Amino acid sequence: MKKQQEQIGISYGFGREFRRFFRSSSAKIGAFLIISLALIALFAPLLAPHNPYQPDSLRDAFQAPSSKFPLGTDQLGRCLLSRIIFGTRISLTVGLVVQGISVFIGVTLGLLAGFWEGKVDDLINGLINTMFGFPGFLFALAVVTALGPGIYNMFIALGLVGWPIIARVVRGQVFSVKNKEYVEAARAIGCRNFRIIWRHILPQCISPVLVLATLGMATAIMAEAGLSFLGLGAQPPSPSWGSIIARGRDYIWDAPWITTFPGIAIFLTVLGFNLLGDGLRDFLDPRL
Amino acid sequence: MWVYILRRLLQMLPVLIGITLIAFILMNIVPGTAIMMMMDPRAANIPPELEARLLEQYGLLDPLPIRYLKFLGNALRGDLGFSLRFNQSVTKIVIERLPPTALLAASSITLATFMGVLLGIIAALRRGKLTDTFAMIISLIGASMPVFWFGILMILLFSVQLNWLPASGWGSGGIKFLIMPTIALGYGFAAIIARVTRSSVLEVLGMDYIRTARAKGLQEKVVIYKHGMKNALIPVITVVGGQVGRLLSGAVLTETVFGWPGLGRLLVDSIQMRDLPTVQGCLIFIAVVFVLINLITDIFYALLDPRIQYR
Amino acid sequence: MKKALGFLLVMFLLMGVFVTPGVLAQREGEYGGTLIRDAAYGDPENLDPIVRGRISAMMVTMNLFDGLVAHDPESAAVIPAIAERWTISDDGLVYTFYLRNDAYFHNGRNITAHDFIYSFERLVDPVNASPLSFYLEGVIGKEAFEEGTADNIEGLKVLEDYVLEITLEGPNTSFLVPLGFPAAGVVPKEDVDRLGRDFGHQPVGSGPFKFVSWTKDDRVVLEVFEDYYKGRAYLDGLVFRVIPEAASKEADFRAGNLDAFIAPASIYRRVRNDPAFTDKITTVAEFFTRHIGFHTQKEPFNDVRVRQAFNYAIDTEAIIDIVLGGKGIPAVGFLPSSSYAFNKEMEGYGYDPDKARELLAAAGYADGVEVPIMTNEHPEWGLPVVEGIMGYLSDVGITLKPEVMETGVLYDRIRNGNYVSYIYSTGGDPHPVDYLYRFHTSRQEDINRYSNPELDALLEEAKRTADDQKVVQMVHEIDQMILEAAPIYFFHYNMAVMMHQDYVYGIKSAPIDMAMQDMWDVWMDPAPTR
Repeated sequence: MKKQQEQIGISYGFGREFRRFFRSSSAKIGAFLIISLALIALFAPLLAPHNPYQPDSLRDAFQAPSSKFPLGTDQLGRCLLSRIIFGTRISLTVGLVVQGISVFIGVTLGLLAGFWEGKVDDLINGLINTMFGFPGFLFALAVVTALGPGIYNMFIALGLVGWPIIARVVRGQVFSVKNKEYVEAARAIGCRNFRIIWRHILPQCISPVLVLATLGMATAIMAEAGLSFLGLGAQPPSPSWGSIIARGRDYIWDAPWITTFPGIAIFLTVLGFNLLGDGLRDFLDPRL
Repeated sequence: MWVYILRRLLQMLPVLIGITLIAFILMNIVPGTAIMMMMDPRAANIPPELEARLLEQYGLLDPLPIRYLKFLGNALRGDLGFSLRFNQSVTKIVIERLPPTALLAASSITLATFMGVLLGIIAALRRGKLTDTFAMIISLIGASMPVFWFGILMILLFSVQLNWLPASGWGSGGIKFLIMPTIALGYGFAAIIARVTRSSVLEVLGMDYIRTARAKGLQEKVVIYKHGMKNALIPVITVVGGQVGRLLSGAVLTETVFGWPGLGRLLVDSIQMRDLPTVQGCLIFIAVVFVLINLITDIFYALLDPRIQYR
Repeated sequence: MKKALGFLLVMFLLMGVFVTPGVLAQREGEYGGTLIRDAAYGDPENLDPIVRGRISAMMVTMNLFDGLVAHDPESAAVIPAIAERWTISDDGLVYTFYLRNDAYFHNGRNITAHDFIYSFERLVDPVNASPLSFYLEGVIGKEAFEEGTADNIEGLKVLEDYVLEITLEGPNTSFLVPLGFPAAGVVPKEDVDRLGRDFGHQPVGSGPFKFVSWTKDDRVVLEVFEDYYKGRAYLDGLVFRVIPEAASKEADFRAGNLDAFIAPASIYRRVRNDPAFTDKITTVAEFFTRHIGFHTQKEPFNDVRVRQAFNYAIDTEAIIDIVLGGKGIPAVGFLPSSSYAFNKEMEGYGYDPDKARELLAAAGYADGVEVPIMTNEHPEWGLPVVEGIMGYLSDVGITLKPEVMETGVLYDRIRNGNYVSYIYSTGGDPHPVDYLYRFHTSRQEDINRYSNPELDALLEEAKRTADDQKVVQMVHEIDQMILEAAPIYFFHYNMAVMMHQDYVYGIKSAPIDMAMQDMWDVWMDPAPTR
């Protein structure tokens, strides 16, 4: 069983694994949600009934949901459904890019710390501990304040929040694997460090990192919504769900749909990633 | 025991210094006129000579490392800097905002822990049945619901539509101002506690010493309460401590939505007004509180769990 | 006969004694109650009037502090306050103020000319680093005092206990205007010394209300000052609540927990035609001109025809109607219509897209031109407006490229000249000459690098002229010159809206800023029980 898990990336009874994975209903629902969202993001221009950035006419403002505007319009007359559809692109991009950054930094530093030990490890471990001393969202807030609002700065900020936990786990894996017999054996026959890392250590890391990255996407998307809500993330007229809600707050008496529907989108996306991550965890590495 | 605490405090020190360094660096690489914040943005016209003089007076022209060292020295004595926006010491400003946030945090944690543990225990005892699934769905929703959106929905329903509860502020301190913010902030928290409680209770109930107690013929209730619960709740405490960070972050958003006059709102307002000394002071204060809470949680955990030894 | 005459005389005298006070002190309002207003621009942050020039503080401090003069609430003209009357020498250099002898601080002490010397020197003293020290610009010895080469300001003299003399270096037609703002108010030395920096959090003044308490980010509580020299105010108490959300303000207003608040466009658009709200709305054209500034030294705006084309291209009334919900008064020239020097005959740019295209073609831009524009996210003069006008401009060939940034950064870049165009709001000066002085070459950086020596000369002359009639004539000329040069797109004068319960009386159309209400003569009938 364990061996099977260890060799996940190296194809062994993959089909059987797949089916076992999908017996979990949460994983099923999660995967369904995420795939749907990915498809919506991909085909956004085809699916959106109107232009999400420019209204057809300013006089369409504050329309309640109708057949012409299925989710209503916002304060400038833009179709809310179209904006939410295009917002999917922003959210999924955020999830992927941020976790990409976190994984890259986290894995690199974790490997360095675990492999070289000594001063390097002390430094990196110290850095990890300091990062854990800051609530994540607040750190991202600080970074975005320092760099200025905007979506690229937000990628950096959120990426910097996500790497410590990945680094810690990778570091732990490195330590646990380093002393196994087959690694010593590999060293004995003269394998170079890089090869050892690549063939023996990294595969161990894939499962936990995958789980963390998936759950991390949920966190990143939630954080992006929060930052955009505060006006520090994606800038208008970018249809980030959080910023649509923020700009709709003034109109809560006239047009409550502006603040309601984007929130449902955030909820479903975060839910999807949470379920998927949970499913992956139960399946790959219940210890986490 | 005291050695353990002392060691942990010492371990915290570099972390705290690291935090001040990061906060300071972040806040001081930003461009923007601090002085301008004192004037009405619609008609600001400070003569440049006056601006230069003010900048010098507030020590804003010294080189960066010197400013950091001055700042660190002051911070260790409790002086977190001076806000040009309020013309007041940042420490005073932060302390003034502490009671509302403390109240909100305390009531959220209390409500959330209570509801979360209750929900988790019920779910564990009725494992596999409808109640369990239902409880877990509620919990899942809570963990995925953006806290600011939830707050706005509540305002929509209870203030705009029904006019039962006030939409903002903490007014006369009456409880009706506290209800919605507490629920908004606490829901996500409760969700996680519920899940952890449930799995912890399940784990404990399956353990050997419980089977032993059952085998001895003790009543089910006694088994559960006396032996199981206490041990089951230990990981829950860790989680509560660990989630405080998320709670503090959530407080920032909750206070903004509900116009709650606390630290979170101060932080957001200061960011938007570019009152960087206050942002810096807030961040450091929050981080220090966070680290302390982690420390207390660890100590608590160490005290409660008989298996832990103080290495 | 003599007895009868004597009796009648006594009767007349007695009638005079009883009737005159009634005629003189004719105050029609009801006394009592605590009025709750919104703190319109957020928490005041600091209530020491010299520390900041933000309206969020001034709307409170104007009720706590009094000065030599004040501003008439509706015309913004200078009117007496603690100085009952004053004389100006013929050369315009010496102002002599005669103070009343029955003005008191909240701590009970009588106010004399010495207190004004103290307060003014405090305003200018570099130790206090006040951004408002320029209020006393032009007074002899001010600079020496600031630089530390003098121990006091030479141009400020006490002639007698209640007579103050101020001497200027040169005539200044608008010298009295800033003296009516709270920063030029009189403060008690003993309390400033006692409280130090905390004076800004426990202010002591001489205005119609005195300070009670302040919960930061939540509310400021004031109560009536019984010994106010004009007679006590109607209200027993005054509360300023900090409510960041427009929607929450409305909720509290409807629930009866808020008596008056400044309404943003999002609310005004909905209630402006609602008959249920007719007597609950007071509006004013504030002294703020929203505009798009063109960098007059860069392409394409170095050509006056392009600037004029921009003005013709936009249907200003439609934008105000749709984007602002009607909350704006279309601008004619730069000077707002509520100013006493406003020229009612002046004609502005209308909506004429054909003329716009003509002008653009004549300037060589028949194929269109791209214009970057800096903006913030303000709902009434920021991105929503830019997004709204994009259509009109692209119609005549101008493509706008918005760059969104924070107000602070926006302002910085305006000062540095690092832009092609920007949308902004500016104004606030009660005196028309000061208001238009922005276009003087010396103030280039404030607005848009516009420089015209003819205009400069006219502005300088107006500033020196004491005769108000002449000044108004000159202002008309200046405004017309600016209109024709079109260094900006004349967008609108801010329409400020105060919504109040129908039992609130005495709210005035205050053009300096609607939030700057003198609460002394505001009353409630009936006062709400809370």
